[in-house]
Amino acid sequence: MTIRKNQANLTAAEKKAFVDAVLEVKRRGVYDEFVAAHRLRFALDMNTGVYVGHFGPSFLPWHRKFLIDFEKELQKVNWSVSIPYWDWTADNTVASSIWAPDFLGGTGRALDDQVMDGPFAYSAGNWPINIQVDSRPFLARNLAYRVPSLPTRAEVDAALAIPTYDSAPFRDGSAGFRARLEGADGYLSMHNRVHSWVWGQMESSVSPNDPVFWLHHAFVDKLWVDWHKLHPTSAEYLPAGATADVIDLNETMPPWTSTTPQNMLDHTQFYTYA
Amino acid sequence: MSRLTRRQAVGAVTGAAAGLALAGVATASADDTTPAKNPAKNKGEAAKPKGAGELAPFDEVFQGRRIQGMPADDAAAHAHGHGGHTNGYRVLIDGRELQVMKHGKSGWSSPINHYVRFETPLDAARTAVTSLKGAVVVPFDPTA
Ligand SMILES: [Cu+2]
Repeated sequence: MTIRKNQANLTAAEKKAFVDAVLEVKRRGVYDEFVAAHRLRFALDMNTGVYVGHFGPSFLPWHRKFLIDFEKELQKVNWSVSIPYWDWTADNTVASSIWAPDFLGGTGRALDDQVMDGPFAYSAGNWPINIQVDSRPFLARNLAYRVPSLPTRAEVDAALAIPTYDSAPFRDGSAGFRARLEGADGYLSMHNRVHSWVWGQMESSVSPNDPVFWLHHAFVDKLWVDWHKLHPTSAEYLPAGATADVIDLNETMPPWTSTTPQNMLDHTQFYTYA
Repeated sequence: MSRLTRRQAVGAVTGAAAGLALAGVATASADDTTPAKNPAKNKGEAAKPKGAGELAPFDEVFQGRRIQGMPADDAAAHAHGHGGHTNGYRVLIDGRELQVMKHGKSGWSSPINHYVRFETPLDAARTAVTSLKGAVVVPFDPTA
């Protein structure tokens, strides 16, 4: 059974096991398939105006499936590994242990935002950036540059208090929990703000190039779970059906050929959160 | 709606972006031509004259990079060998296309800054320059 833990509570051995599995998935060429799939989804969404991966209700189930697939690849390398989650309301500074050299490495240097320490530093030789939207071949970050702070617990609690999952027109600015959590009802807030706070590739459509992507999205996913516990009678996903240019509850989410939001609602068949 | 599997989708798009060298590192601020020194610090809302319209053309040097923007339609874009969508507007950074896209009322985005929205393509171009720190844009167009 897969149990996702708070990254702040991982032992040194657990951190190393996670990092080693990520590096091995990268070495096998599989990691970059995930980065490319994310870039493609973003580009198609932006060009078609049908927002499947982001800026629409399927943001949460789409990323849930994306993480499940990635976690399976990690577990092919090491069955005991799961995706940790990063509670950015608590571990919210550049000095947090998540950015230490024994885990994800730290912020980039001033010259070009290149990450210089940790297992994902370009100089370590194991983390070339191959799927790109710009020519940087190295992992880049500039923590706390674009926005000085991460979302607060109070902001998260305010989002969790919203009883409705999403509402018409089911776009970026819709009223409801999903758009508030995504940060798409104002931008530079919540999930979107975390991407911008990290900067570098995390700010772009190739954000999974930064391994923190998975820990960030595991926390976002956990908040969807937490929200449902607070509102057990609310529909866990909306819209239920017949909504043009929006992924309805029982519609397939591309690129998968048989995965619907409905299929993603019971996360406990795949993992639980510690 | 696309029915590609993940692997099919991936196979169709990998390999487009390899082998580009770093451009010279941008020098900040010396040749900025506008009061918006750092769009990043302005949260995507650069100080700029209102009224010219978000689709006004521009051509300026920002943090050492030439940025150009011009209204365009898809037909003209194809005639220039650039497939895909332009959303009626083209942006170039040192001559390379930065794909900008309009999302209704919420504004403009680019692949370099994908989790924010900008009021104008000029804002998107300036923030992309700030992000790139001398790197060049690698265009990616799955519909090309
Ligand atoms: Cu994403």
